[in-house]
Amino acid sequence: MTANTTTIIETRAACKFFGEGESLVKAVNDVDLRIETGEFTAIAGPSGSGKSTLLNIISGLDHVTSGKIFMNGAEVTQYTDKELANLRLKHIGFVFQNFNLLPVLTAYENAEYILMLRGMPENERRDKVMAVLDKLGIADKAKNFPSQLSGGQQQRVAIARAIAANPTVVLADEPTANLDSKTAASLVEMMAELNEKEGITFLFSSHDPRILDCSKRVLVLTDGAISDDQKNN
Amino acid sequence: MPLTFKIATRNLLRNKKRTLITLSALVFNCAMLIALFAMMRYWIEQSITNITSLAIGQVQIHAPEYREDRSLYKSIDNPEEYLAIAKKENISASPRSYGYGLASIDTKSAGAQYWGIDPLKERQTFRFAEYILEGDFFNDKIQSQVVIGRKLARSLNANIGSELIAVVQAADGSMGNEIYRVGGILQTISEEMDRSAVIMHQKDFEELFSSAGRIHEIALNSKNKLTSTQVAEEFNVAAKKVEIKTWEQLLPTLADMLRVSRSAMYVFSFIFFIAVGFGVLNTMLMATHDRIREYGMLKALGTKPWRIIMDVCSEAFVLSACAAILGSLAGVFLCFLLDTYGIDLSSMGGSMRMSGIAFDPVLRSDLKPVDIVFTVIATSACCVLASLFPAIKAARLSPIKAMQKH
Ligand SMILES: Nc1ncnc2c1ncn2[C@@H]1O[C@H](COP(=O)(O)OP(=O)(O)O)[C@@H](O)[C@H]1O
Ligand SMILES: [Mg+2]
Repeated sequence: MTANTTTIIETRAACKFFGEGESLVKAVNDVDLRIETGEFTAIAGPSGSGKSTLLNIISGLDHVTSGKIFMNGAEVTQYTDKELANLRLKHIGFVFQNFNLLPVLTAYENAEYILMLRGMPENERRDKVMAVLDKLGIADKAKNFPSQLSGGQQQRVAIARAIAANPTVVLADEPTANLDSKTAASLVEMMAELNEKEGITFLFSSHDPRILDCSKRVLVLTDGAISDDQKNN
Repeated sequence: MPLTFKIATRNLLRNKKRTLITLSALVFNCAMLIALFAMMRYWIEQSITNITSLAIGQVQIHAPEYREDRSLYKSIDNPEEYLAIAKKENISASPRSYGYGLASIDTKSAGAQYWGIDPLKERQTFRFAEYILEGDFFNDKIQSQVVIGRKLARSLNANIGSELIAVVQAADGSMGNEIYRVGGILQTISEEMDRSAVIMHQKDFEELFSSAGRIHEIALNSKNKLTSTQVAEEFNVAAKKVEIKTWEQLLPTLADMLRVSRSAMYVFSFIFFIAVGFGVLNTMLMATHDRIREYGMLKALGTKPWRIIMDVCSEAFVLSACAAILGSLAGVFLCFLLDTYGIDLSSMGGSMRMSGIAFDPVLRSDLKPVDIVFTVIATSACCVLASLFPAIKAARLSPIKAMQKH
């Protein structure tokens, strides 16, 4: 195995600008970045530093202004919308800050959703989803609707959905921002444990210092550019 | 249950008030359309039955050119030949003679069309013998009696038992002159009969007009065994000697009108459905707008646009399916009420007459499965079509923009 084969995400001089002229915002500015399998990496930086934008261009939710992005060695900046949707479905698990779950589906059904989109047979889905919900300690909430769950429980369901389909990487944009600090800490501990035990790769953004402490690697964004890349432990 | 339908049903239950309002409109529409279709069919069938079984018949045979001048001399040659065909083919036939003249009672007189009929055959072929307002229709034995039209009776001040003096020009050029007793007054069958019919026994007619057995019209009615065209075809062998006309040819305006009535109903329902479509469009636009962030999130996860279109359209479909079931039940119930009570249009002052033909003023229903099938399919198709625009709109959302909406 060469070093390249373990690189999941690579950005080369990735730029994303909004507006033009006077109001030009360089939300992501010339970012070179590599994420390897098994990483547990946080993107840190104050609000407006470009964390969300960087995650969005990596996942193909937004198009780069210039530069290239590779996922598993494929240049995704060349992809059509349809190919990008497939890429997200097959390779990326998402956890958003809010509106993660479909309110009309139960915790179980939400977690099952991507497996269903991927066409996994129902009995396999059931085993898989129940195992994941169990792992995240919310198996007893399987039949509850999101409105019947706490914020922390909802985010766990979102993580369950993200990891149930064995994605290449889980991208999480400020997954703890709407949680109180204690719940936030336990959610990140859980993510770290999944990374440790199951080898799931996480790339998430946060500006909470306590959460950044748990991360193996912290990329600091300042005005859209990486200003620091620290490896903990 | 497939996830799509689960999502659709639960989404419908999210805003119960909105769903209920749209559902009510759809149910109302379905029920009304089913009832209207059934009523329309009843009216059309009834009209045709009135035409074919009251006095006109499915087919009439006349001497060539008789209908142009109605001359006493233009009678059918050898009418027995046609009566024999009718008998062989099991088609009821009624031979009639017609002549014109004056009818007077006391000091009042009016122009009259004299009918010479065979009461027995007339009763076997048509039901107009039952359409008597006052008095009786004659039976085979009673002679020297007449049954007259309603308006004629009024203008002559005729009552049952009045003496009617007929003055006509007979076939031999002499003046025919007889006295008859008014035995019955007819209900409205046609404008012409109302105003001028004086119906008498064939034998009386022959004496009055010295017509020596002349027959001017043979009216035929297969009583639903054959269509009017089929009846006409049976007499094709004689087509050179006589004029054979179906009721549709005799009353082309009315036939056309009845024929377009059904298509008019479909056009009418189309307009209904456009209104319904806009209602559903509005509901689904509101619904998808409310859930814009959810669709954005689903798209971000990698959900394909077609699946989102399916989700939205399924919602409209589930809604329309519920509406179709409830609406059909309500429609069948409406038809049942119509059948039981009927709507009496005469009480609304409407004169039920078209092209000189009278119609049953009581509207009832004649429901056929096709009415329900059409309404159900059209409602569902209309709902799904109307939801297509909001569905495509939701499917084309940019995930990030949609998720940023508040
Ligand atoms: N759709 C957009 N249009 C214009 N400017 C945007 C848009 N999205 C983000 N920005 C700008 O880009 C910069 C980075 O935003 P963002 O990536 O959301 O930062 P973060 O997630 O770190 O708070 C900000 O200045 C923001 O105002
Ligand atoms: Mg952000």
